[in-house]
Amino acid sequence: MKLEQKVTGYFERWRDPVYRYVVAAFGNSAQAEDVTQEAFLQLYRCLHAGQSIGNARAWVFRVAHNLAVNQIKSQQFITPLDDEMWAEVRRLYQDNSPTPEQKLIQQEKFDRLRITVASLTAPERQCLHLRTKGFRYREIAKILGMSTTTVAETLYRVIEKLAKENYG
Amino acid sequence: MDNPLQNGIDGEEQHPPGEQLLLYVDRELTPKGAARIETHLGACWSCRAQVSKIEKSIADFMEFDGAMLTPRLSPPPNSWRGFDGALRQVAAESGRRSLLSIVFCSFGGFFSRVRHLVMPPH
Repeated sequence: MKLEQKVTGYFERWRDPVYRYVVAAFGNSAQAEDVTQEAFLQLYRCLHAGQSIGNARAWVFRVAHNLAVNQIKSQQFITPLDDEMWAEVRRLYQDNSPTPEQKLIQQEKFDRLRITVASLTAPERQCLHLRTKGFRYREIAKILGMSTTTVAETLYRVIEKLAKENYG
Repeated sequence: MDNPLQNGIDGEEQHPPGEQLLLYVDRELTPKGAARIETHLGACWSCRAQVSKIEKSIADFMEFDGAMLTPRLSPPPNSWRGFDGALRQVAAESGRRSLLSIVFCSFGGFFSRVRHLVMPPH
């Protein structure tokens, strides 16, 4: 298979998770699409140069993360869901809760989660969103350039914040 | 990761720190570390409740992410339209570089051989 086809295959498979990571972790930036594309172009350059890449998925996330750090760092984080958008999301949400009371409880839970997620620090957001993409701690550590212990501590802090909001 | 549970003064096993419980839930402990936590959980309702809280928090976030966050993220503004062209351009540039490097390497080798013929090394 030609290298172009191979990289196009990776791009089609991973572009959405990478893009969503960049948007969720760095804010709703118009640059997220460019950052994502550039990460895959760098993958092509490295493979073409004969560089051996063991875990291409983690590699692409790492490059996208670094590009985002350099390009988006100067901007203030904009939560992907502002108040106006949140009201719309709540309105459109198809809740299957059987009773109005349960529906209300569910809505309140989502409201609390939204506030907690918006209050996370940048490393907390990054660790959380990478973990939701199925990365193991050592992969997250490599992507973010931190130790596995720091990843574990950061993720536990996130879980504590989420639990505190919902379970006291 | 491994964290042997330490015994207290009276020989009773101490509770593992919350962070170790998350590592246990995430299958990030060594088999030995996981077995020790497993044994502790068999005896300790308090830590089992803690594990349950961690699991519930993860489940809540994943539900929130799947229902409310991820589907509502703005789609890429250009719908990935620029990628194919950009990749073709990078491929062409990389190809040209490769060709040039082959040519330079070949000429380099040729000139090196000529230099050795004209000025043999001492």
